[in-house]
Amino acid sequence: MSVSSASAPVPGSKAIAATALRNAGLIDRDAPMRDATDTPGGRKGKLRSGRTSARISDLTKDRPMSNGTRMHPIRLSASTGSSDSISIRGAARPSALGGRIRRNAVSGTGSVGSASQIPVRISTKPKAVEAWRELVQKRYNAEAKYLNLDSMIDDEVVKKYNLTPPGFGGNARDAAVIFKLASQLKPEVQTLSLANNNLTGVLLTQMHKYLPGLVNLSLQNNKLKEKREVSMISPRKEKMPNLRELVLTGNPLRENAIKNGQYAVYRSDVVRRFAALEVLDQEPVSQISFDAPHASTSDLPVEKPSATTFPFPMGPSFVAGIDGATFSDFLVRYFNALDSQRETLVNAYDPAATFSFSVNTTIPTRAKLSGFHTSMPNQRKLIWGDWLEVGSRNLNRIGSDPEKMLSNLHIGSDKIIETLVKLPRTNHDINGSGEKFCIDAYPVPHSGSMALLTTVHGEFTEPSTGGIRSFDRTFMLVPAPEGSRAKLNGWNVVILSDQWIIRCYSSHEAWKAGPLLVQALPKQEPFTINSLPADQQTALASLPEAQRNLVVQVCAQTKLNARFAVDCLAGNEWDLTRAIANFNQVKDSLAPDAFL
Amino acid sequence: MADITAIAKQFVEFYYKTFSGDRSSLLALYRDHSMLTWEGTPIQGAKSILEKLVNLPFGKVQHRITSLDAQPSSPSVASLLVSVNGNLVVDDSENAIPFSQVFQLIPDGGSYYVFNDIFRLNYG
Repeated sequence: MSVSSASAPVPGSKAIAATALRNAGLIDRDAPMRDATDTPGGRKGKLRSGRTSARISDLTKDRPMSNGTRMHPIRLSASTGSSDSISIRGAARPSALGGRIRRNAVSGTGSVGSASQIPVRISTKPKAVEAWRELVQKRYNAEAKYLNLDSMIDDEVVKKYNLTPPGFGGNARDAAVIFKLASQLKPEVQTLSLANNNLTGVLLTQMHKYLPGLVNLSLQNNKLKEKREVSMISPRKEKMPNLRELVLTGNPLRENAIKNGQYAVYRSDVVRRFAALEVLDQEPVSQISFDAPHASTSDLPVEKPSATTFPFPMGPSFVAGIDGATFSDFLVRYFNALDSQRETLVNAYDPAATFSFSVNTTIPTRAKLSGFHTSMPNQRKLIWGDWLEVGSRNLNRIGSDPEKMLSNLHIGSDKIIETLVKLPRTNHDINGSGEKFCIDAYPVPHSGSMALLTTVHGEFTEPSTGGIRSFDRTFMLVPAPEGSRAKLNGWNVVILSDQWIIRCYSSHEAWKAGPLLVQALPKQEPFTINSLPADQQTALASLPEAQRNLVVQVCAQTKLNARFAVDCLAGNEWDLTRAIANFNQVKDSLAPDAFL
Repeated sequence: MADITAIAKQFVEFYYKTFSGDRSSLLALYRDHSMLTWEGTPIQGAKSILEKLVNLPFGKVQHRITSLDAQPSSPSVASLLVSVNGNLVVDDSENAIPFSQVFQLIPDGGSYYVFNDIFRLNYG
């Protein structure tokens, strides 16, 4: 197999990519099947963009980048020859720049920076810094925001000043000088090529610090060999958040992976290290890239946990590695069919798929605290029997009966449908609030290609009673093979494995990001005259009603007892505002017996 | 197939027992290519995962399982998916927090390791 270029990836991944491309091309968000609003409530909580609640439908929208532009103007990829017919929603569009890159690069000598603005605190000689500056500026195409540092060893500036580029004698500090100089270019560098420089990861450790906004990066034909070298480029905590395209073609890391049949693993490993990668080695990675700007939850504007809440707040959904439209279409179609036409789901399952459901009858704490089981009348009409009689596979309960356990694992799409149609009817409000659903989905290597491990948490109504249940669902999804029954029936992904946990309803905002209430909040009774001790109530009885009301208000706000409240008001001409202000001036000098 | 249920039960029992005892011993159950998403935060690699688990803001922890199910995750590849519902009892608090956790287990030699792990605090 040729390993020299990305146009010859291993068959498995190519098939996936091809599937993804076709899917993306085929699926129109406004297709008659569903319109854009007809999508499930996807997310609990807030995305970083500050929207109050996100849905799966948001994933299908073209996400603007942080700087407001939708897509970067430059691609590093050479054309794969079929780019005209390809369009991945929300993913990079492979483009045909290859041959033009160098030409662009050498034309960008126009920007001349002030020579003295870099206080480089490293041992490289000032002269060398100036020489590097010359090279960096010469190589920058400001219009395209493209810095081409290909084959630095061959550059005339390098020869003239006898420089040692990183990879050819230069060390990480030299590399840092170059990145620092690059960081001072205006406008900010968006695309960087470091192809053919003999680079290892250790030489690239400073890059993300100086160039955190990089959108496209080529490291083609370098010496990256180990996975950890990719982490050096993009450390876990500071993932290069804007990087959309990366080229590692011609590095031992990639080429060895191909040789060893580990290409899918390699891609998955690399993609996981970046928050927003869309194209890797000139192949769109919509199937295996981090999709989201919300790859971590660390800076969510959620409330801090309090004494009555769990010491860790709930985070938002995490969806990565799948084209949003494809995923959304699947979920919408699946849950709609589950609610209204279960038998049609036979096509959504692989012929050898497995399905089981289990019933968890434990009443959740929050639901207990909120008293849903008494305050929501329909909840009392729900009965578990309708579910249990079909065969719950809660191994925690039926462990003593291996035969039952076995028969409750349903194998094959026909058997699965037989079971599904026996279960009580459901109604998933997938257009409802994002706080009602929560999804985790990300790609996992599977049989030489990729699958999508997906969990969906949420709620549904049982139409027969109007009562609400909560559920957890785990799917293992793969792209539907060409010619399969799923594909022929319009399912772009097919289910290999499906586990469904049905449980007691928890909360209206079960999946809202933020603190998790674990204790009932103290009840705040309104303060009335009846809140005062009986003797004080009696004492106040002689006052006119208007004054009595004022006293109660002062007591409520200051916790003064009735006698001191009366004194306070009387001293302030029965003016409530003045009385409170007066109280605040003197409160520290009052004796404890002045208070309730 | 009966095997799967036995493996799942043994695994889950071992996992949560270790979690309550010496959390740092969980390292042995993950690999460098393992991935955990904990409340939506992705964490990759045994070491990082362990760091996350060890640094969770609670001391004494007990997982009380309320439901457990397991399946092969694919008809063609040896691996299994274990999904768990349970109650998390932290520092002897009387208010348990329900959680949901899904493990993808991969056979390795005579035992299994956690390839993927999705944890959610659940509908408290």
